[in-house]
Amino acid sequence: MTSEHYAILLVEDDHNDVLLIKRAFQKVNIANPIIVVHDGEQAISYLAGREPYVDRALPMLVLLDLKLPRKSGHEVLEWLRQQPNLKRLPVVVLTASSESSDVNRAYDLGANSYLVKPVTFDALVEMVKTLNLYWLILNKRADVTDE
Amino acid sequence: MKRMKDEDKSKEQLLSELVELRKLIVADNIEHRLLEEFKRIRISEEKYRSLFQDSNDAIFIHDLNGQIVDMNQKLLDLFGYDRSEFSSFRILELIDPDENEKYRGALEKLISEGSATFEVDFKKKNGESFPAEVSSSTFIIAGVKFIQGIVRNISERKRAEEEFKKYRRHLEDFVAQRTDQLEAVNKELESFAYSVSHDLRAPLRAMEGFANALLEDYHDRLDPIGQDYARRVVSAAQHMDTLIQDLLAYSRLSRSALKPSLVSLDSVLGEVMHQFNPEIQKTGAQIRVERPLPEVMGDHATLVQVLSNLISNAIKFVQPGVKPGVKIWAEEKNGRARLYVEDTGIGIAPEYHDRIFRIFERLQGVETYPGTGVGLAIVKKGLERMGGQAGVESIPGRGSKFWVELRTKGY
Repeated sequence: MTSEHYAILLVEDDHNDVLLIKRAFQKVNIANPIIVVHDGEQAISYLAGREPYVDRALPMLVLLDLKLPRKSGHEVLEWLRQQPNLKRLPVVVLTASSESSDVNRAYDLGANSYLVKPVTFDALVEMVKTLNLYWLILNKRADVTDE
Repeated sequence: MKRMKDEDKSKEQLLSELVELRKLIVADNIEHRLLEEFKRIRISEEKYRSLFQDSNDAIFIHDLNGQIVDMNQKLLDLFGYDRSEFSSFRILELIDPDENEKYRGALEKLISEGSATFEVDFKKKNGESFPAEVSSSTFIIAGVKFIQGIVRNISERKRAEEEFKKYRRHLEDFVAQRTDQLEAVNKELESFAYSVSHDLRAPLRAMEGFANALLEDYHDRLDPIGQDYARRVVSAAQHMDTLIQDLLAYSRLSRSALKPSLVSLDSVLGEVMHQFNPEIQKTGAQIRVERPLPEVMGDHATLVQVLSNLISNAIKFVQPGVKPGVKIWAEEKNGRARLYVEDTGIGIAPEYHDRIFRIFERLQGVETYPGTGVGLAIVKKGLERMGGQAGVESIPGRGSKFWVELRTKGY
């Protein structure tokens, strides 16, 4: 049943970034739908299947910003890795921070990859292209279930 | 019977001897001389007694059993006892019970070495105890050994020492507190830098991204001037991003504590060259490295940054159309290594050799040679933080030779 879930959960509070990331996905012709939540709490609600996301489908990949309202990306990651049914879900951190403290903490908490948002759109398109190839096509997924 | 006779005889003899003696005594004035001798002894005794009694130091004398045999007025004043009370004590009864062992130890040393100076706490009649320095020695009268001790109350000195300790603790607390404050300020600066890197760059991504979107999606509806404007937005946003990144790198360098360790310049350069591959292919730059390069005392990440700034400059500052040529080598002398990065670029006039290392100093317009004016400031600051130096030798039109110098061993 897991293979049906091919959406990408984008946890991003900056609406400009959401638009640009979506545009980059279009340019690379990625068919996977993008579900957007705007803060850490919404991300946890979505993944846990709480109101208003009771009917949600589990994503195949989480793109996680770190600096978020309510709950930070680090907190979301920490929570996620403690959920028996969700802990294998691949998480790619996509953030503006290149501070080594942020990078190290993210990996300590179980991030699968860490990408720094580039300023130029062309670089973002390149990044999304590689992300698609690696995480959505090549990468062999583990079982992630709802129960 | 015979004995009686002898006695009788000796009586006579004795009598006559006495008479003779008497004559002698009178003749030599012995009576008077004896009296004089007694007087002399009494004066001497009084002299020493008053020396002992009126001494400004408190003095006690006890025998080898610790029984007090004598003391002077000063000592009685110090302890608050009268003479008869004090004479009834053994010395250990006058010492703070916790310190008895200490006194016994001092006595042993005293008896084997003849004298000893030590500190011990005494007990006064009123129950108060006071710290004292005892300077004691043994002496012998008529074959019997005694111990005398001079007692100095060192309460004041102890108080001063205590006070000094208190001040020191206070000072230590003060320094610790200041350090905490400085650390807090440093943390604040860090979070400021973090916020700059995150928050300032977000709008830049939007400017760059949407101006790009205009250029692509509305290409047919923008005339060449409109397209030029959009491109200017893109390049200004990119420039500002580089500026922020450089400033962050510079401030991080000023703030963070570097822990120099032995770093292989070969491995640093390998990393930098890998990073420059696309640039080298684009410009057709020839980069020649004379290996092996030495190991130096430095910080790996900082050295990568320093070398990449130097190589970037060497490739960048050439006459238009000229293929950059860069030569990199090192020389070792007196425990220091100097790494040279020599280029075939436009060169720098001598009057600018210092200025170019200052932050935001630029000799060229951004149009001809893009940059932020932070690169060489990072080189200089980085070298300073690693305990090294940086400099340049250059003649306009004949290229530049930048160098960085670091120790090759630990302290």
